[in-house]
Amino acid sequence: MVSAEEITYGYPETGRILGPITLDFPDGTFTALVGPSGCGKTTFLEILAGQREPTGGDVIIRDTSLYPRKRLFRDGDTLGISMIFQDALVFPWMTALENVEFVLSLRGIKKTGDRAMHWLTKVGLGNDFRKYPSQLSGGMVQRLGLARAMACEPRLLLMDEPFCALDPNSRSELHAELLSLWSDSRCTAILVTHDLDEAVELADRIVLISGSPGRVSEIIPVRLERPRSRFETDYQDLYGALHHSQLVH
Amino acid sequence: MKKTDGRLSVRLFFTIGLTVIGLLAVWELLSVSSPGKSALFVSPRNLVQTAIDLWVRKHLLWNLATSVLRLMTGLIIAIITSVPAGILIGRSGAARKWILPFFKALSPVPPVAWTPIILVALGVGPISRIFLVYLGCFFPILFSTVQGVLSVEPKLIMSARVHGAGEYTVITRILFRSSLGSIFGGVRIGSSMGLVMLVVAELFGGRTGIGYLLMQAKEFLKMPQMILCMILLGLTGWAVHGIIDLAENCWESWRGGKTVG
Repeated sequence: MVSAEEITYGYPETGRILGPITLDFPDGTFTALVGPSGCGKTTFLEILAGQREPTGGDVIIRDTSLYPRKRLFRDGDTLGISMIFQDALVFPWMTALENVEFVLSLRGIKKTGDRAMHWLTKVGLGNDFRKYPSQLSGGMVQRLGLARAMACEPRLLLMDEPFCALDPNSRSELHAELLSLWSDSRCTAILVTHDLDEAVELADRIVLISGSPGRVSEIIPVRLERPRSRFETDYQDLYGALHHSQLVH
Repeated sequence: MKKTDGRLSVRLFFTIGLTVIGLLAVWELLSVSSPGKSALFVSPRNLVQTAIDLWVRKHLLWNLATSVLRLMTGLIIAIITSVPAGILIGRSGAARKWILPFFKALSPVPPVAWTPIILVALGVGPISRIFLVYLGCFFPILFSTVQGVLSVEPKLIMSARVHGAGEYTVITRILFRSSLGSIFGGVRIGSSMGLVMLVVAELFGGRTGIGYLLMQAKEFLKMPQMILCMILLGLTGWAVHGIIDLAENCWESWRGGKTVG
């Protein structure tokens, strides 16, 4: 279980921009955080990732408090967290294989080559392992980001609008791949997105976050069978309800 | 594809060769047709003669090697010290607050202005010359490294940290690697400044080096020797830049998007 307890974040100049937010993420669930631009979704995700000290509150991951967090000199301080970013943020000077091997080595995993190749093949990059990110398309780079995150076999997978820059075809292909990898691993997944369709298609529950300061305005469970189709009536009803809630808040 | 590349290289080689030969011929003709100004117009034949003469009598190769050794020693020590210092300053807010102003205050002093004080403090031996070269190289490399580290995308560091990278890995595998383009730029400028400082150091006192041969030529108004020394200094700078370019192409091959393996 991952718990965010009374999380707040702010700057001295602008005051509080986020919270207080209290949310639980049960093990193995897929949660989508949806909200308008600037409501603090990404900030909240970075706080969950242990990369941004909140102004107030704490994150508890399996009874371990995340804050205050020390910057360690040695590798390996991960708490089982992996993250996929908006623009993938793979390392441009490393090949696809080296990118995956690098994060595996950070976790003290030896003989990283086979494991890295296994994950690259799983996301369809088995033949492109020698290529640098600059030689891959946007969708392929996101696949690499996905392989890199999943290769670590995370207990908590955080995703910050990873598919927003992709064309609709690549996006739906990656949705399917992500769902397949997630259902195999059954890690706790948290996706930040402003795309309601993406949230309905992927998540078990959708958390609506209202604008400044960002707060949880509504939590909506998604009880649709996977794979979900936007042509189904239940899907459209849920989408309509979400759209209405977003407008109200 | 490779055959075409090979043909292009041969064509380029011949074009450059013919241009050089043409320029030398024009130069030779100009110097022959200006007998009254022979002190200023040195012919290529004269230069070759001078080079042979210096080679035999004044150990041209030894002097050239000494200069190159001084330049490379100063440059390498500057890289070894200024790159870690630059990364530290770029990474640490406290270092930027307390250490960077000190270097910024020193850097506007022209490196040449350090020459008298260094020669008085360290004498006219090899250490003072290498130290002067080092001074010329240090600041450009330091400031380029700081700039390189500051321009690293913070989310790239977060991407490494969230996957478990400690501070040591962030510095060595992310910051250093991301800043290499800037560092190479600084090394290029630093090596040029180092060459300037080498000539200055060898002009003032000492009995070896291309700078010394240049000073000696000036004393005895030996125009061919002066021009030969200038050409050798130019070639030294060109060769050092060539080595830096080679290293950069090797380390930064990903920018060209070449597939490895």
